[in-house]
Amino acid sequence: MVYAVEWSWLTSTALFFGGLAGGSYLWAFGAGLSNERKYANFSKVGYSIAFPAVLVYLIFLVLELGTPTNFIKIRNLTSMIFVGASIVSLFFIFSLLTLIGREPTILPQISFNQKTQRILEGIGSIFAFGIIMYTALLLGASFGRPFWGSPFLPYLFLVSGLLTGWAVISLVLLSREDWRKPVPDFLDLFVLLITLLFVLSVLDLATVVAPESIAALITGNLNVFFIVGVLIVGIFIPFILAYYSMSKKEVPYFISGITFILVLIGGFLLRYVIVVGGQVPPVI
Amino acid sequence: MVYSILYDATKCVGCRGCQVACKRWNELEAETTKLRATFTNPPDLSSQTWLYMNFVEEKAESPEDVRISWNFARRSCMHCVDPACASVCPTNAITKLSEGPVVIDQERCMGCKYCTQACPFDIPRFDEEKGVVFKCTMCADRIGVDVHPACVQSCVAGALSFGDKETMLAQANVRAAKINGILYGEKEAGGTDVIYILPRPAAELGLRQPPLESVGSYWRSLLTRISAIGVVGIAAFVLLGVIIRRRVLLMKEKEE
Repeated sequence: MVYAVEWSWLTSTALFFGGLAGGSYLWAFGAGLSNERKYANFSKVGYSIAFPAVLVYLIFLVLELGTPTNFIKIRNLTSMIFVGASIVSLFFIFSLLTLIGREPTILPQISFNQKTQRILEGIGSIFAFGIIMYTALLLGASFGRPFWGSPFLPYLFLVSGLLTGWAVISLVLLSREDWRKPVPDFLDLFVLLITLLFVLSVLDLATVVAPESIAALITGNLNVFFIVGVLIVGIFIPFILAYYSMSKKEVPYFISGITFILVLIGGFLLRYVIVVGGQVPPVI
Repeated sequence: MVYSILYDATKCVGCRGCQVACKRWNELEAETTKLRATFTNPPDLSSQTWLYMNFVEEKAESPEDVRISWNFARRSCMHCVDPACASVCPTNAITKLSEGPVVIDQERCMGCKYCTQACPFDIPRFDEEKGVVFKCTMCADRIGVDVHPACVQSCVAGALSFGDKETMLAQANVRAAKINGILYGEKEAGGTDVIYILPRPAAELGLRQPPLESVGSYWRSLLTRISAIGVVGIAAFVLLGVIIRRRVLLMKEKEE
């Protein structure tokens, strides 16, 4: 069968980093809200990751477009690309300001009082949520790709973005030996939620409109990425490791590290199979 | 006036005159293709092929009869009434003209390929070298000077006709009823300005079968469903939070 895959790993990587940027920012904001003192380090790392992650996201978007100046041509205010570009630009600004406020060593000339910093972080968190949801809506607006038209997709990306954001924050903390037991109790809930959302999305799509995409994921050319990469490596093994970790008082570093890395691999491959799988044409 | 192309697949003889005329008028390059077990050539649309004929072989029902009957189907832009490609285009490079054609201004195109994802008929094609997207224009330049599109002009079998949409649609309905054919394009993707009369269902002829709703109603329906899930999700989380909080309080009370 002849068909063109117009969006592939460049787009998938961009979407992955978009989710990761938004996810780590939301964790940092949420942790700060719940207990500023206890999670000060966690928040700081989260904000420090969000800005470079959104930068990587932008780099991959530009690479996909080929010419950075092409962005100047954007005119259609209702296109999801314009909506997304606006959200990403605003998130870029707010994540940078937040980072400057949190890390005085970056730009000592600029500092914010606590109230201003809180407001900046609050507004930034709205755009962080927006950037994750947007990556799914960008796909959803593609009328010609029924696989992306699942209403569950934005929530799947949201949960996955939060999971990868949390994993990368934990990985940084782990490398600094700041965290002896890095798997919090809610991980199992999250993995269950992402599994449930994924199954619902797949069922919704398989029964209604996109059997060819589902076939590509289960028995076709994407089945290794999907079954081994997403389901086993990205969800099943981290789930088992998380349960193991929760039953121990202290977890060996390499087990925690592997858990986080596998979550990140799974998060990337999830974007990849959805982006590429959605472009499989119907068998006609 | 809105114009329409009417393609009657039951009259088509598969001469590929339309395919060649399209290339000639639009100065599109020939493409090197590989030998495949089909007469369809080139195998797909590209930035240099805006129209091709799909050849579908059909064996006779009787095993003694070795003859093959042919079905042909034209693959090219359907010029949707509410074009999904134009709705997602971030640069407004794609326009639906008042006469019917959906055209791309390559000067404005930023090469994001969003239109290739949005088209329910899988028509626009990205040119890797030029970094922009191309597709059939319904020969808008010819319509502008009151000449029929090149493909219609070249059709020797009378399978292609061109005229105002109402007349074309009326003709299509009469012909479809007479031969028990299937109308394709009247309702697909909210309706298109290219109408086909097919002897078989579209999918059997290598054509996409998009939903009948337009891109506008698809998007509104998707956003409504996303919002509904969001509301249910938030309600479920609040409920879960209340339950967990109560259980924690109960456990604390027990401990005390």
